[in-house]
Amino acid sequence: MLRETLKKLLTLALAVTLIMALLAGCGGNNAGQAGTDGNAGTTAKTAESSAGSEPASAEPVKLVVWNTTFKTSDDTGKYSKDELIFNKAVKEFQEANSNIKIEVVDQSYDNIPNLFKAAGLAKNGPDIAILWAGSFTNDYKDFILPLDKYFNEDELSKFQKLTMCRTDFKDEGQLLGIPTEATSINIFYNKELFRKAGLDENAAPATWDDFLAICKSLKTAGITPLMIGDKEGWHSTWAMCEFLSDLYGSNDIFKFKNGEAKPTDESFVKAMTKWTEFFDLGYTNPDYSSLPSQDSMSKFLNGEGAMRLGGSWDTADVMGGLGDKAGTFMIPSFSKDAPYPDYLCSQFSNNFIVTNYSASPDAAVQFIKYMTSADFQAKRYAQDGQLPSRVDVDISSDTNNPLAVTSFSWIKRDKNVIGFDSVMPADPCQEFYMLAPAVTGKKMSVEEMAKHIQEKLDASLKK
Amino acid sequence: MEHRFFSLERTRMKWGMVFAAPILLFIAAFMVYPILSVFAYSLTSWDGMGEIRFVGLENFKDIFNSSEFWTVIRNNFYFLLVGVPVWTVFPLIIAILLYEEVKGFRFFRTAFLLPTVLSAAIVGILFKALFAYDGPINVVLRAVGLHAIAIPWLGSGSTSIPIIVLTINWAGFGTAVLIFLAGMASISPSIYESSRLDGANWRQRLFYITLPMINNVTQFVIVLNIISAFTSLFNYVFVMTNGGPGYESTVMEYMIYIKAFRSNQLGYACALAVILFLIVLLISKIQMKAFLRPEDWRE
Repeated sequence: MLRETLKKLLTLALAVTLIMALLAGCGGNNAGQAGTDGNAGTTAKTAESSAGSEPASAEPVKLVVWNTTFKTSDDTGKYSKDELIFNKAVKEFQEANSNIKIEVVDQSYDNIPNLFKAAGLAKNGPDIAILWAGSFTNDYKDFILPLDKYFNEDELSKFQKLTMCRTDFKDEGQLLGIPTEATSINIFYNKELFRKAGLDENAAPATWDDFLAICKSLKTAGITPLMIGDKEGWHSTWAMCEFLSDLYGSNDIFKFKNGEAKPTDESFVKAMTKWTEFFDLGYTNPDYSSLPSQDSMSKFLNGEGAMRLGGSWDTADVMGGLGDKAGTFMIPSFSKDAPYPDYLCSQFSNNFIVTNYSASPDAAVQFIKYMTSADFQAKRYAQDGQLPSRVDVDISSDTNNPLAVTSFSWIKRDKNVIGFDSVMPADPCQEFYMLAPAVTGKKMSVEEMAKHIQEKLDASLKK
Repeated sequence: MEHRFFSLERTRMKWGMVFAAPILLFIAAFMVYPILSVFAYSLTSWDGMGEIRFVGLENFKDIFNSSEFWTVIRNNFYFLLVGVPVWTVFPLIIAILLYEEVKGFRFFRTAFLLPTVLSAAIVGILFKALFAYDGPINVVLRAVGLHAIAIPWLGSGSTSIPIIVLTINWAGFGTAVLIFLAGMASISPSIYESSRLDGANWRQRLFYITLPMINNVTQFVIVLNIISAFTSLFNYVFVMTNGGPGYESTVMEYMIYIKAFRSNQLGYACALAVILFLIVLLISKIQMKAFLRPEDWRE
């Protein structure tokens, strides 16, 4: 009997222990676990737990950085980990600030939206994150610390216009992020294939008709004129961003944010129709709608197409693949009647943000200032060709990457327009990415597509 | 006496509850609560971050009014109607051949199981490369003069969905074959022996002994395949077509992913998940009823 009771008590104790362990596992932060949970790349301290107790400069601080854009390893084998500029700068920063330890966690662009959202709700995410600039950063403003008080006017004046990094794209909006690089939309071309087709390898097309004439010559010479990989809908998006820049200019493009400008507007439909018509002419690779963008780059670099749509972020790869044979020009204005024919779709692609639950915002801002300094941006440009977001970095004398120098010269004209997909809410943009390959593949009309995007925009604005 | 019996039962029940509590708590926390949450969120316009606003059945209304939902449902049913027979019949044929111990059956038994150990993403990439416009399939087609059918296979839903069906068939082949083989192995050899003595030929043994006796196993494989047609397509669609062009190869799972994580519409995505849950539940019920034998009815 006693044995039986002991057995029951032992089992009961075990059951209670299991329940306790389960509850402990489900509970929030472990009180004994200060600092950072290294595996998850999240800070365990929350803003609440340390409110008003900003660590003194001598106290050790650990910052977790969620990195989406900087190379921390090089698959090509060109650079060792220690040679990569971001890794180098992190090391230098830690040496200069011995009390600050940086933990970099690489995150993919696919993962960051839900991870950042989940981390923000639980307030155990990173101290610093690199997010897409524009509507994406704005969507997450509830988790972002406004940076206005950390930067003086002189510091901010060193950057290109920061409207895109402010809440709701307003000049008076709160500063949500500091841009990591600037970008442009480009057409890259292979000079050797141009020569083969009897074309002037240095003459950029001034109009859309000139561009079509180039395509025609290339096709006649048996060369695929434009290599397109629109599986993800990005190539169509870049083309449309450029077309809409010509139509809406720097200010009116923001009308897509609040529905003042509509995808069903005549100008939007006209621009998309023009882009769709291009596919009827047979100037692209036949598998454009199923080819991933990255694969189209490989094919272009292999000489399977004379031109490829892309952006300044590609210049190092194009130079690496084609060398002296590489050239670039802006997408020419699609219409003679466009009010801003020489405007360029150019914007910051990413920005550093500090989370509003970071326990060490001062140290985080210090790190951001270091990583967006003129010195760092110049070194980064030299290594991977990413264009500076600052105005005080001069790359014009660089002879190694003429494609980047050309792109930067376009940006410096200050006729820049933000891409429409960085302005509109996420859902209508997603609809555009999905439907664009169907429209260029003649499976859906432009009007039908515009109607669908409009519905998504209306629904997003209503919510 | 009766009172003592019930008292003992109650004590046993009490202890049983205590011992089962940890796992029940675990199931409640990690299965029941998330499922109920999905149902609750489906009635909100939550974006995953901000305020959770109750919108009633508005998400469901929007879903049923959107044309892409019907395209996506059609695609899922396409997978169901084309995929389930393919994923069931082909492994069954192979299992029968292996069971009959055709020449080299030991090698084939291992070979058929090999794709099962590969991840869906790897298999997807492999088949994407195989059916690329300049991939091996089209190279062969062009080499034999069939230029007209050397098309971008993944550039249209009408060709990409059958290719995804084939891909899944290749990837899951081994598992289904193993299940069928296990079912066949449970048939008593004496039944075959007596049928042989009665003069039954191979075809008669197959149709009058083997297939009827593995009826339960076949049902099980069909149920698994039906569930797969709605819940195991994401990896392949994501890797091979991105659901495109347009929504031509988008399935419910992929749609849920897009809405939740790319469009920031968690409430809408939860409503889609609820619909998916109900569809799978309904089809499974119908299937179970359809396969139920008269003796099961009586039970």
